[in-house]
Amino acid sequence: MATTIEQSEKTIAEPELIGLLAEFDDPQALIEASEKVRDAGYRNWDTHTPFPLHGIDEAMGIKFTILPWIVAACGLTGGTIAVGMQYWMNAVDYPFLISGKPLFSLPACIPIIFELSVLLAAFGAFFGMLGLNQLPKLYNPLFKSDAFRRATNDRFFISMDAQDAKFSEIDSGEFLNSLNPINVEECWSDTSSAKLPRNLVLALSLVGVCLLMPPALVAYKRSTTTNTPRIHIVPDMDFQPSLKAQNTTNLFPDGREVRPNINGTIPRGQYKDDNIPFYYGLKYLPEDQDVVVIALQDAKKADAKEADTKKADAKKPADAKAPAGKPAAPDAAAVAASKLDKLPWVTEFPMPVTEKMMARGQERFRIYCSVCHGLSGEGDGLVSLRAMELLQGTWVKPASYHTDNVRKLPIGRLYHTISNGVRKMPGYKAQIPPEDRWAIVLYLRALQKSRNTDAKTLKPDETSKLRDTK
Amino acid sequence: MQTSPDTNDKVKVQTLAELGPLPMKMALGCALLLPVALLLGYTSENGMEKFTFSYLQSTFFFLSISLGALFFVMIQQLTRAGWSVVLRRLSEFISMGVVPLTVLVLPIVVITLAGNDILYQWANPELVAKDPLLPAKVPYLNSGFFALRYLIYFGSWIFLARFFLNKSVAQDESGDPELTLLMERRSGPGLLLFAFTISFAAIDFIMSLEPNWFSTIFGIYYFAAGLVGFFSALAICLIYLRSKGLLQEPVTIEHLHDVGKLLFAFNCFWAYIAISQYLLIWYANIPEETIFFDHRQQHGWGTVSLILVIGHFVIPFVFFMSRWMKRNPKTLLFWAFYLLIMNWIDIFWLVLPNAKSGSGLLGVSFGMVLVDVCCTIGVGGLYVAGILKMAGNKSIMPVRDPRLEESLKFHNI
Repeated sequence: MATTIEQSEKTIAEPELIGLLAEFDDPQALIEASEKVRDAGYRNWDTHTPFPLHGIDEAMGIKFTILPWIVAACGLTGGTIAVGMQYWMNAVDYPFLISGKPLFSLPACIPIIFELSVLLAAFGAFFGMLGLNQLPKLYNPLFKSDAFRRATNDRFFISMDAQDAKFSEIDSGEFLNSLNPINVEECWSDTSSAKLPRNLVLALSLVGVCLLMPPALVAYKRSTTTNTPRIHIVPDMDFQPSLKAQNTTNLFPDGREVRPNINGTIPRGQYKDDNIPFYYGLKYLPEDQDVVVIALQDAKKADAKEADTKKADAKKPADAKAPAGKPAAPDAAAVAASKLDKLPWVTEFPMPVTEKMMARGQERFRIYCSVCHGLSGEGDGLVSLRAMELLQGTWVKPASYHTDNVRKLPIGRLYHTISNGVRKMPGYKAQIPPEDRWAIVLYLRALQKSRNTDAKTLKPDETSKLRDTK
Repeated sequence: MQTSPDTNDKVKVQTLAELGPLPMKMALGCALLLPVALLLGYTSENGMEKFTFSYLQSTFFFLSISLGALFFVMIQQLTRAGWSVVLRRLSEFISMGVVPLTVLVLPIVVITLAGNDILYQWANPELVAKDPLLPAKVPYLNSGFFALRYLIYFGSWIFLARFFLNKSVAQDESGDPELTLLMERRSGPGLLLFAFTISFAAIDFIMSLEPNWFSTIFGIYYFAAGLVGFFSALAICLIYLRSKGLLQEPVTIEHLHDVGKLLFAFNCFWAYIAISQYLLIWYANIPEETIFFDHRQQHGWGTVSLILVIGHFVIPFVFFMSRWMKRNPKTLLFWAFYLLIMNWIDIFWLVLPNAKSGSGLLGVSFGMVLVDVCCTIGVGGLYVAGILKMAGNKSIMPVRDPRLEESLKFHNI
């Protein structure tokens, strides 16, 4: 017998009294009753009405909500984030000058400040309200009461929680009855199983499986190839009528989409004539300013011819290859070279020479130059070695720096060569800013000196250093 | 629609005449400051420029209030608003201020017609001929067309204000709900007419002070300023009348709360329009547009601009937002006065920086503010006196409006 009793206690839990529910049929009666409950010192209770009731807040003794402060705090946070974010993005992380405006300027930030303030304030209001009201609450034991259904229609209720410190089943019930309600009923906890219904579990599983399908499809598409062209969701963004560099057009007479600078204009930050030695490597610009360009063009033409001849040579049988190394048009190349020789190249660095500049020059040299010229400047860079190995007919081995010809060149000429190129070497002025080019020239001079110094001119500590270095 | 007979008996007919002769005397006393301002202007350096611009500022300050009232009356009719019925008659009285203002603005039109270029550069053919752009604007900016437009604008406003007041007063007698429907039907086209006239009036009288400058949002800016001025004035009037025992029962704290809400909302609207105008001009950075703000950052005008940004928007936005600020008549009165002064500074900032003498544009100075304050009080005296005269013995509330019951029982949730 004893065992069976224990079993029955396990299977059916004893329902507990959760609270009391008093029903009224008049809003005024509810307010009066609420005032009495408030004065009796109850804390854990609530009222339920079909519509917002004026004066119920005071009648229930509810303190004014702190929600406005939450909203204000969230709004201010949003505004601060907006200012900070825009400062970080525009002035620190990616400084980009737009139409001459300061990098960080308050007027430009106002729309975003406004938007983020409103967004966070709205979040604060919405989630703050939900939080303060302890919502969402999917189930309330009061829903079990049939009478309580009329709370959304024409009845007014006071519910009193059994958790309240003052609550006692008999006294509180009597107290509620003294408020002249239509009815007072007890609310008992739900003892039915908390297990989900079988159908709901099935339906939720089905939804879960369906939700897995889109990511699975994306994963499949990403890991396989297809012959069908991509879908253009926004065609007018993918195919814009804008002109692009390197393309041709018949809109302009020269057929190029990219437009050259307008004559007489100077792009921002590219005014060079105030510091000719620094930007051109020349002491002054020659009267005929075009001479630099012309000399350059002539040199290039000569190179082109040379290359053409070499190409032609390469097609010849192997036995005729011997004269290929020699320039086929020595005249043109010589003229160009002599024009360049006559220019007034600078021989002094147009800025103070420092350790830092030397270090920078070494670093840049190793990045840009050493692949062809080699780390020591002998023309034995990896690219060059590989080209020689493949016996490429058009490859011209880069000049070694350690020849008398190169040693004699003024530094302005070296700077010019780095900027504009020579023979097969392209110009690097698009990639390397002028100060870095000068740093490379400095390092190049140091390389040359390292191979061409009389031991007698060295200072004692330098010789000892040389001796000790392993 | 039917009138509710029970309200007819309950509601007492009150008129502004119950205030006694004091307000009229006060208004006419204030009007005496107008000759004082003229005298001050006449005796001080560049005084006539200061006075003329101050006079334009003063008339357009009060005009903005009356036009705000006219807008409010029409929008209430159009939207079949019930809550505002007890306030509507007072708004109709304020909108009738366009009648005295028509007379007050007339001298400005007359001197411009006479070829005086103290206000408007474009009225001087020699200056126009020298300017590279102005000759192209002559078909619009010429004194003849200007005078014609003045007649159209003020004629439309007087027509609208009188129509809505007279029909509403007629209803006090007959209680005919058809009149409400009639006003509702007319308020739609009326608002359209209002929108065009206020925009172009702002362009003609204020924007063309700087004839090379233009801003397409300018009309709305003046409209926004006017609504801030009107709701301030309405709150002040209501609280004053209630303290004198008029409208004490019909107008409750709930109505004041709503007027406060509208005042706060339209103050934010003003700030929104102002920043929209500023931001676009600042971004584009085109000299012929930035000249407006450039000048308002120099010669002391920068301080006035900052007063507007902080005083007209930031301070009221932070401190006037609370519900209790609007529900306490004392705090509401404070903010209404405060924003009315800010609105005055706003119109001052629009008009006075264009004041110029032989040597160029004038900076802000104590003398200028003094002349302008005297001028505003003087013009305001005439304006209020005109409104009081026209209000006469008319009821201060539409006593037989079909929606009166709703308005009397109005309650904020």
